[in-house]
Amino acid sequence: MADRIYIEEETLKFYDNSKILNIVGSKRKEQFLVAMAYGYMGDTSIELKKRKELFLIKDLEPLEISLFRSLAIKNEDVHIISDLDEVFSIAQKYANGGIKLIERLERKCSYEEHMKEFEKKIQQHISSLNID
Amino acid sequence: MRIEKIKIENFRLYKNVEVNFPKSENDIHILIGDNGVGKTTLLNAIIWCLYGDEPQTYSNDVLLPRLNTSAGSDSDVVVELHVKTNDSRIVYKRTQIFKNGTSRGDAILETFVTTDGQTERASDPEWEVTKFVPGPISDFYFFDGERLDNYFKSSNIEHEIFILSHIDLLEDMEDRLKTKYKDYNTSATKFSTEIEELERELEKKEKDLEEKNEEKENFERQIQIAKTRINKLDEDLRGVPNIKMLESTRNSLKTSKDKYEKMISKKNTELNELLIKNAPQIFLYSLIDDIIKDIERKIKNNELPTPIDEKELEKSLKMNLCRICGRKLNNESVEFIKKSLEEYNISSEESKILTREMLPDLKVFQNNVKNYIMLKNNIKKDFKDFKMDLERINEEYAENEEKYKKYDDENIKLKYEERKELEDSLEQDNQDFGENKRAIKSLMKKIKNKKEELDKAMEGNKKTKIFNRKKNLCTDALNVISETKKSIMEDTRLMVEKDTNTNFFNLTWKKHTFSKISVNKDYSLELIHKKTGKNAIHSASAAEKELLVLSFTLGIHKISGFDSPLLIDTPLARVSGKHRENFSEIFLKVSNNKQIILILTPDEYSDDVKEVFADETIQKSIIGINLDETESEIKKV
Repeated sequence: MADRIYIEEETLKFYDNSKILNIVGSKRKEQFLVAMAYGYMGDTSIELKKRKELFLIKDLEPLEISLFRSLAIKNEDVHIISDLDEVFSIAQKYANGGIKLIERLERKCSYEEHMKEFEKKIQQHISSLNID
Repeated sequence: MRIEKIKIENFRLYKNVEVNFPKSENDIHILIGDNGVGKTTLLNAIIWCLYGDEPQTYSNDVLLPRLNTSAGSDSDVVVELHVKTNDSRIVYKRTQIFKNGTSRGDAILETFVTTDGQTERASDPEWEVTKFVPGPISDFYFFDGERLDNYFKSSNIEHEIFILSHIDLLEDMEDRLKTKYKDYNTSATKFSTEIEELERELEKKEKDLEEKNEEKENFERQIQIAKTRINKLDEDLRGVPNIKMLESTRNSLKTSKDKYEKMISKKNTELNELLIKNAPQIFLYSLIDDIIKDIERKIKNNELPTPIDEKELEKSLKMNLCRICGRKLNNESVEFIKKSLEEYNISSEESKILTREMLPDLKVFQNNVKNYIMLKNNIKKDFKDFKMDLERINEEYAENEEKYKKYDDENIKLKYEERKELEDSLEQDNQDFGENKRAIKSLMKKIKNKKEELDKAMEGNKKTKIFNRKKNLCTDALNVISETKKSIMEDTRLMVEKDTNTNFFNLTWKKHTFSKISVNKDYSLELIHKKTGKNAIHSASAAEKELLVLSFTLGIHKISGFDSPLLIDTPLARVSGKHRENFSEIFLKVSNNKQIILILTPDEYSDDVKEVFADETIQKSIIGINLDETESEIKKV
C-alpha cells in the first residue's frame, strides 16, 4: 500500500509559492486538502504525469481519510472505499486539478486580493448551500 | 478729580501723542482701536506715569522696548497726566532718560501743582499721586476689562481696604502699647528671680511666635504670589491646549493605534486560518451531505447495519450490565445485543467503514461547516468593531496632531511646566501653612498660660504690683483697639456691600434674577440667586459679572474717598449682543457723576453701542498705527 501522497512534480513550485496556500503558513497536508477540495468544486480532476511526493499518509487523520473516501464514492462504486490506494489516487487527481485552478485564480488578481477572492469563492459556495 | 490731558513722548508705540478730555454733559470719552495698535499701551502709559510700573498685560508676551523704536537713541520717554481737582490742577510727569538706547537710572516722577494761578513743584511727588489714586487701589480705577475674572479669585482687596480705612493708624498705636507692656515686664524682673525666669520663658515663646508669624506671612505671601501667577498663566493659556497633555495624548493614541492595528492584523490572520482550515469541508459540503443522507437511508432500509460500538456491547455482555444506563441486563436485552453483534460481524467491510468511520466523521465535518459560519461572523464582528475603534483613534490622533502642530511652542510648554510646578509648590505651601497655623495656636496658648503665671507672680510681689496694674491698663487698651479695628473693617465691608448692592440693582437690566450681593469677609463677591438662594456667580454671564465688578468698583471708589476717573481697557470685550447696549447705557449713567474713559476695539464699538454714545458732545477718538507698525497716533473723530 502507498505510504505517501503525490502531486504533479511541476506543481510543487506553486505549492511553495502560492499566496493563498501559504498565507498563514499552511502545512503540506492542509495545502493538499484545499487543492483537492477546490478541484472537486471546479469539477477538475487531472491524471498525474510525473509524480512528486508531498507528505506521508501517516500524517493524515482518520477524519481526513473519510473526506478522501467521500470523493472516491462520488467517482466509483462504494466498494472503492476499502481500496485506499485507489482512494488516494482519486484525491491526488482532484488536487492536481485544483492546484491549477488556484494558480489561475491567483494569476487573475493582485497580491492583496488573493485571500479576498478566495474568501469570496467560499462565501459564494456557502450561499449556494443555504446553510448560513 | 478728572483727567484733562495725557501727553506721551516716545513711550513704546507712542512717539508724540496728546489726548485731551474736555468736560461735557456726560463726562465719558471713547477711544477706539484695533488689537495691537496701542490700546493697552495707553492704559499702561498712565499707570507707568503714576506708579513707575506697568502691568504685564501685553498680548503674546511681546514687549516692545519702552523707548519708541523710531525715536533717537538719546531721547527721553515722558508721560504727562494732567489732572483737575476742585481747586487745583496737577501735572504728573514721569521721565526716563535714555543714552545710546539704554535707560539711565530710574524713571523720575515730578508733580506740578497749580493753585490760584501759582504753579509749584511738589516736594513729595509720590504723595501727590497718593492724593489722586493710591497705588494699592489703582486696580479699581484703571483696569483691563478682559481681566475681570481676577475679581472673583483670591486677591489682595482685603489688604487694600485696610489701607483705605486708615486702620494703619490704629496699628501704630497697638505697637506702642505692646512696647510699653513689654517694658513693664522687663522692669519687674529686677525685683524677683522667679519673675525674671518667667519673663525669660515668655520672651522665648514670644520670639518663637514672632518667627512663626513671620513664617505665616511668608506662606501667605508665597501662596498669594503663586495664585496670582497661576491666574496670569491661566489667562495667557486661555484657549491654548496643554502641549504636554497633547504629547501624552499623542503617545497614548499612538499606543492604542498600534494595539488596534495589531489586533486587526491578528483577526485577519485568524480569519485566513479559519478559511484555509475549513475550505476543504466547505467545498465538499454538498458531497458530504449527500453521502450522509445516503448512508442514513441505507441504514433505515436495513441495507447497512445500524452503527454500533462493538467493544462496548461486548463489555456489557461480559459484565451483564448496560454500559450506558448501568442497569443489569435481562434475558431479552442479552439476546438483542447478541443478535446485533452477529449481524454486524457478518456485514461487509465497506458497510463497516461507511457506518463506523465515515458516517460519524462526515457528521463532524458537517458540524464544522456550521461552526465555521458562526466563528467567521464572530471574527468579522470583532474585525469591524476594531476597525471602527481604529478609525475613531485615527480621527482623534489627527485632531490632536493638528492642535499639536499649531501650538508646538516652547514658550507654551514652559508656561504649562511653570503652572504645574506652581501648583505643586502651592500644595506643599498649603500643607506647611496648616502646620504653621497649628504651631501658632499652640504657642499662643502657652504664652497665655505663661502670662497668667507672670501676672500672678507680679501681683504677689509688692514691688512689682504697680507694673502689673499698668500692664493691665495696656491690655485693656489693646483689646479696645483690636475691637475697634474689627468694627471699622466690618463697617467698611458693610458699606461696600451696601453700595455694591445699590449700584448693581440700579444698573442691572435683569431685575428679578438675583436677590442680593454678598461681600464676604475676604472681599470675595457672591451673587445670590433669587430662586435658589445660592451663589450663582459661576453661572452668571460675562455681562453680569462685569456689572458686578463695576458696581463693586464704584462702591470701593465711594469708601476710598478718591473721586477719581474710571478708565477701562476693552470694557465690552466679554459682553455680547444686547448686553453691550445695556452696558453702554450704564456707563453713560455713571458718567453723570464720574469721568469715564473707555478704550474699545472696533468690534466692541458696534452699531448698538455707537447709538448709545451718539451724542456729539461725547468725544470719540481713533487709535491708529502706521504701516510699519512702529508708531501709533490718536485722532479725534
